[in-house]
Amino acid sequence: MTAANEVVLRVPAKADYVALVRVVLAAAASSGPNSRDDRIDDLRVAVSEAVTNAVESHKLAGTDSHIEVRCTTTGHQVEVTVRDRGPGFDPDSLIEMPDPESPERLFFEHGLGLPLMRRLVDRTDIETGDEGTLVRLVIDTSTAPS
Amino acid sequence: MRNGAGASVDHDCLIMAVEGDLDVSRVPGLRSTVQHRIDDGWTRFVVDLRPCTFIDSAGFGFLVGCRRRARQLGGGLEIVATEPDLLRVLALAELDRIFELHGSVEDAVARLVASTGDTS
Repeated sequence: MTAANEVVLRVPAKADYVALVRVVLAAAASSGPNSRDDRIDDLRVAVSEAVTNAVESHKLAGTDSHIEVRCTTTGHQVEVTVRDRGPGFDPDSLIEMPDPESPERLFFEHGLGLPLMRRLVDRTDIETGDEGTLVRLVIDTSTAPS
Repeated sequence: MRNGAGASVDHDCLIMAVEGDLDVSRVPGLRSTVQHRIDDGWTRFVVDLRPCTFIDSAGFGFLVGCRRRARQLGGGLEIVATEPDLLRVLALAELDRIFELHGSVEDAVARLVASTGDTS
């Protein structure tokens, strides 16, 4: 059952579909009252990170399952969930980035997605296991970024 | 240039203007383009993000990796970015501490020339 204020997308786990998800989610999130453009932009980037991770995860697992993205708008609050069927991961095992000004930082081309998601939205929850990962992003689109 | 990245040359620096979205769907093509240019002998790059409408960590990784490869060859990579929303995301990702973000191609070329020598 899909609530009246809910948008559900099932997309192939391919890089070419990430932009489509961004466009649809931004439009859905903008439907809330007094939504701020900068907060919608923040959500666009965070969703892009979550869906990109899901695409990479499916590639790793060799699965052709679809990725499911849900966006629920309740007043100013927007909740987005991204569910994949990849192998899961341990969020605590992620390697900490070196200082941006150190020469070693140039050797880190990956691993920025999750910290960036956490900076962009008000709340990020991750449930992950052998059967996949669920990322939940929550943002109040009416308040200025912190 | 392929992949929606227009190119020009100034002081032996290859200037690439990236149009549209710089995300996971775009990075493999751009990375390949840069590698071809490196194979052709280019080591000094300016990436002009002013026409770029969106960037996320896939794009950041591309920029960081290209700078590393260019530096390993004695060159470098500088970024031009002026759009406030883009600058904000770059700052949140701390890219503004990895790169000096330039307001014009001329400034970026001058920085590259100063750091790697004038070969023109």
